[in-house]
Amino acid sequence: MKKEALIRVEGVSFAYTINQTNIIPVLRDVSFQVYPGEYLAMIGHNGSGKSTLAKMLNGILTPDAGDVWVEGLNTKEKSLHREIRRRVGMVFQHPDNQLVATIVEDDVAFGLENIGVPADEMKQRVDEALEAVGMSAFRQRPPHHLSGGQKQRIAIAGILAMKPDCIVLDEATSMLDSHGRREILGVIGKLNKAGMTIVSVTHHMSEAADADRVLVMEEGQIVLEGTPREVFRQAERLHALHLDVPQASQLAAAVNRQYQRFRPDLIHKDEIVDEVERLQPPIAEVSGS
Amino acid sequence: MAGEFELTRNITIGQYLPTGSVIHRLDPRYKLAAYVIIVIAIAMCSSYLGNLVALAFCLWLFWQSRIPIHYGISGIKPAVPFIIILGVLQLLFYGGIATGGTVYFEYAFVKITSASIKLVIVSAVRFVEIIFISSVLTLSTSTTQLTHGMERLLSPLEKVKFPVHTFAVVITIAVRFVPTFAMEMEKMMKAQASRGAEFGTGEWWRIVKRTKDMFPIIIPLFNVAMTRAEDLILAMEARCYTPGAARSAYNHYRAAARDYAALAVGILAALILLIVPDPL
Amino acid sequence: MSQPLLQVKGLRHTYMRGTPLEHTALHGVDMYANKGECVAIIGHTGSGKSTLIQHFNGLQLPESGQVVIDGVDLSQPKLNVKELRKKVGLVFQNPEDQLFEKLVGDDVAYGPFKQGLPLEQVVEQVKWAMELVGLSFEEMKDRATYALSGGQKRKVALAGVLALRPKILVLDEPTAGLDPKSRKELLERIRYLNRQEQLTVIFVSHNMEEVAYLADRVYVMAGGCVVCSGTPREIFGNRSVLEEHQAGAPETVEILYRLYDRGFDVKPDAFLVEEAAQEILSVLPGIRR
Repeated sequence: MKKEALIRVEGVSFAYTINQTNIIPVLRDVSFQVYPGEYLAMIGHNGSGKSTLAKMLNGILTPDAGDVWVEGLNTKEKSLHREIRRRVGMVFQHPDNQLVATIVEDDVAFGLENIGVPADEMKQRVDEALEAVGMSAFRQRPPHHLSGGQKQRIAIAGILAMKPDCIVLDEATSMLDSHGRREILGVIGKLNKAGMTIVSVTHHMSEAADADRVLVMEEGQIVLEGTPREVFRQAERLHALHLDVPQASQLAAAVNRQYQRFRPDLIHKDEIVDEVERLQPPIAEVSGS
Repeated sequence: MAGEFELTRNITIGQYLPTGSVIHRLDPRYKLAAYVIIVIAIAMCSSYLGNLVALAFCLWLFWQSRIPIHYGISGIKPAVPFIIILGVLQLLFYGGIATGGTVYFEYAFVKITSASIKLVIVSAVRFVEIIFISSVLTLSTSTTQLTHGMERLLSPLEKVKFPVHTFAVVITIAVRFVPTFAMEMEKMMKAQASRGAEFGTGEWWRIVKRTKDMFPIIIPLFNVAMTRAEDLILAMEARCYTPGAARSAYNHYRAAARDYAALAVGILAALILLIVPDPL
Repeated sequence: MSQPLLQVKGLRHTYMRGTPLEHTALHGVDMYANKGECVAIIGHTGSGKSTLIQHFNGLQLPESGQVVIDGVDLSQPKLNVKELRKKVGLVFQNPEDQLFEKLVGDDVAYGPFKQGLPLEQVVEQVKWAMELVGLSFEEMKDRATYALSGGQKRKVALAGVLALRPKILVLDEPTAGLDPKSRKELLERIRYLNRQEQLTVIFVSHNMEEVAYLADRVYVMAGGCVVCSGTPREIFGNRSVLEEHQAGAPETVEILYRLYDRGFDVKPDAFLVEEAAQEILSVLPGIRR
């Protein structure tokens, strides 16, 4: 039983035109679906087309050929853009370049003002959104004194307030330190558990390991697709694409090389621990056999 | 010397200092309206006594808003060269235009009279008063409130097709990015200094050299500004912003008695400044 | 034991002294770096790292305490800052932002020209610096800076500092925001500079894999103090410090700690994948330690 797709990308091609003779193709005949409630990660090195593809999902960019449908709305219809963008929110890479207002709560309200939400409802939605990202205490602060992670949480709150069906993160953690990244991943994980559809473009393989499904982009095409386990099993292929696998996967593979019973396709830290325990003999004492 | 790059930390203009005073809590529309009225009155007030009253009024505002006076004084410092230049020019050239008063000194086109001396003193004091009252306004009002106030005060202009909303968004963004660019500039200066750049050295008349010295700062800063602007446009579009389209407003202000009172005080002060007699 | 190349003793720094916004960024920091060493500084945003490294080339001068670099005390009244900045090359975060010349070669040459060197020597130093970061001088010197990729721009910026022929290279978050491929390349370059060219390297990072790969010694900063220092192995083996300061650790170390918690006899400080694999193998049945 397959659910109805939330976003359908059908045969999308796109090129940046620099001048008449200089046209750079970025996407070549890309098709995939995003299903409600799933956590989809897109990986690929710079210039692989993943960010361009992300910007197709809410009509910031529209395909030269092919179509993108968001819950039945075609992104080529300009008049539908407002509705499409309300349903598919987007968080960008630079925390500093996406906050508009001089006070946190005003920034969260910015999108709501744009779609004409009445004032009373706005207050309530801003409250809920700030609560959801754990930033209620900062509502009156100017954003430039906040840390990168906190700014990104505000950006997420600004999207959440619009009650979207899907949030697209375009390398939203790449400018953050490890603490900031954990903050954002925590918020995203929580939202996804509560049913929010997440599409995350990322450089961090350990983030992709947490997704339900991974798309690997190269030269404007999807070259690998599957669960993180299926994708990270192909370490050689990923290396050829200049991508890494999570350290947990590297470790599992390294152990497996000398100990065949150890599963090589583990991707999470805890899986390694569980695997070590699984392999212990019933008597807890490790014997020299 | 260690503080030579600390831009962000030395900028006081546009700094909001929340003390929770009555003045802080005023409705920004009324506060701004009262401010405009008083500034106009100060600009028109040319008597010694009137300016003394105005200065006292400004000090009273500092006291009421619980903002330390040194914030106002530090606001004057950068304006001192302007005040001096203005004073010298007025002293030299105004005597011929302003008739009346005793002539103290006359040589060629330079004529110093009691009227021109009075003008120099009065305009310097007016300058200080306007800086003081502007400091109170910006230190007691967040930039957000200021832009809201401005937007509401300008809203009648919508009838003549003036894009008030768009204007307000532009101002908000500009204000929002002031600290960001100050930080960016600080970083850029430090980065280029690390490569051996020197700023503001050399004789002041070598304007070309001194301007060229700034290229390594200005050019990257401009590039960064462009990138940020592009990012910001995307982010705004992604949040359903359509230029010129109708928007609802998150902040609503309801004027209370104290706001009417503030406006009344403003009008009263302005009237006093204008009608106060000039004994000299 | 000879004097270290860089020595910091009891360094304090306060911003905005005498104002209500006074803030002490450094509370008596002690650290040193020997010639040819690679030293990492880790810690949160606001821990004082940036303020500290700005003392290394005189962008900030010691308020109290001592900074001695290559025998020069930075507190002396007649300090020659220009000379100091020749000795210590400081590369800021996102250094690609600071490129301003149209051509790559010109931008790299900015520093040497500012030093007033004769043209031949400028060319020689530019060539040397560009080749060191892996940019071919002949091929790249006349390229337009704006047309380069993010990773290449960063290399140009790094070359621009190396062209000063510093004795100490200080880097603030050298790989932040780069994709995995560019990151790996840059890390290899820095390692080469340190190991082969004997350049003393001090770098700030939040990426523990990076710290593990490059550093001989690590300083952990928090709240304006050095809270802990040692070799990466000592730091990663010191769990209480890692946890208290949320410094994070390489995934391998985290996995080993989890195994250790479950009662397995592993040494958690093995941060290289191969080492960690050996540790895991040692507790699997049928393998003797």
